[in-house]
Amino acid sequence: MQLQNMLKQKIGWLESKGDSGGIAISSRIRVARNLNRIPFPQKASRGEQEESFKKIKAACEQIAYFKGAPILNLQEFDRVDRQFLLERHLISYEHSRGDGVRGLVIGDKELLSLMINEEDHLRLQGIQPGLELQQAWDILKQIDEQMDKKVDYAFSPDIGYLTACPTNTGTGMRASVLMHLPALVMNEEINKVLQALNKIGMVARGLYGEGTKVMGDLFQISNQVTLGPNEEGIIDNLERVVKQVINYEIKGRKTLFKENKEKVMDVVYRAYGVLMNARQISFAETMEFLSKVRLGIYFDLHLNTKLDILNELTILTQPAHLQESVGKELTPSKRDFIRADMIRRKLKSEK
Amino acid sequence: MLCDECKKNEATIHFTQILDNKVTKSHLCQECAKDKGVLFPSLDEALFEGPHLALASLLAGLSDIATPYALEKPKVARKCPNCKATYADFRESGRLGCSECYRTFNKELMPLLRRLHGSVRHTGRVPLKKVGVGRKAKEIIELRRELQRAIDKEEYEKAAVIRDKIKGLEKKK
Repeated sequence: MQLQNMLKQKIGWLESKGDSGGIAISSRIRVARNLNRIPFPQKASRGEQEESFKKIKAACEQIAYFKGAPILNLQEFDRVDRQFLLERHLISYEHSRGDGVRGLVIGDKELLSLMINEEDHLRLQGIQPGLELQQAWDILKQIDEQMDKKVDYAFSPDIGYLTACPTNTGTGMRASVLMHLPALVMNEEINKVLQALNKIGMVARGLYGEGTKVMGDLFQISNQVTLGPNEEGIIDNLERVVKQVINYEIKGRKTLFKENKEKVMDVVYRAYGVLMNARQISFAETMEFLSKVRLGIYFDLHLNTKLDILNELTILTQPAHLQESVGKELTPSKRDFIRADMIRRKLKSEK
Repeated sequence: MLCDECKKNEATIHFTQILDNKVTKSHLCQECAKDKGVLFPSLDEALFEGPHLALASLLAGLSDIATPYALEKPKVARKCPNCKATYADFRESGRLGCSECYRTFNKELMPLLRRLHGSVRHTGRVPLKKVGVGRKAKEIIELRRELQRAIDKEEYEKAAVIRDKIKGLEKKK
């Protein structure tokens, strides 16, 4: 375990943005890029993996944005460290568990990061708080341009950037927005929304991206199509859809509060009560209750806390974060105990 | 609330997951959660369905898409001259071997890309100094964008002119 120092660092995309009432939590864009002719990571020999790692690392060292940025070789980090990076949304599940020569470059405030030798040689990711896809793309685009001057990207004029999986071919772009949709879950309209999204080439995923579970009513909504529309088109389209979903959610919240005010208040205050008083609590439970408290803040129920604290707790109460915070591996039940303690302290510090 | 499984004990584990594009909520007691592998081996493991599931479903999707073409051409014996991967390798792993595979398996991949994206024409960014991507390729991509804009605005005459320009340029390649 060697990433404890990162616990003290500010995560740029966690600052709450009031514009959508905390419904759109963060906006993320990633592009997949590969080096021309060098076998993709899964097919590459160890020597070839090292070659691409070295090339990309050398390029990063010449890019001003990454000046002083840590370039990690994931082989040197243990399971808890890798899980920690996953929990911070810096790497994917695959990158956290896979073997081979894998790397990660972390930009300032974790707003930009680069995975080396994940499914593709290069995965550049930009994150911003709130609904700020364009801003995330503006930064990402610049780094992509600089990288492009230093390495030989695999590209076809017909079908665009060539990626290991054909689902990413073209722009190689996946744009996504992390959304908090408790009202749509409560009124059970979420299924309709998800099916509708699917019909228009969008997809919803769990908290940690592909193949992960939904927790705390948090959904990641992203584009599926990467070939055909250009980058701006993908972003505009997603943004339009996200705004619609925000409107559904707001409508759902209004109806909920009008028709079931007592019930909603009960759910919120109970959740707050548990978080303020529990002595042992699992992460999944924490996420459920944080979701309800978040809703309470939206309804202005005078809870002694604010979105920033809840956002912070969402990150800090994750299993690997807890273990990094005490500097050792912990059993799940021990974690539950420390988690409850941390939540109480954070919530009380707001009074 | 009682457990969904045994309907006897109080449900203490509540979770939501997406299955077949549907959100399913489950409420289980500790015992049943353990039996179903939801709660332990360890909770943080259980938070993830893992990449296997995701990859498997993706591949199921891919092979489904590829099937009609696979039937027409049961065996694609070609090997990528650059990385030695075969089309069977791709079918198995869902990943191509290298950038050259796109050239090697062009015939098989084009219908697949069309099914996945509804298009096989890139209109997005172009690497600035791409070797082999000359001014002409960039011009074609710019024209394709114009073509799309013209179609969107229902300016079909203009679109036809642009289309012919693209065809002309593509012939010269």
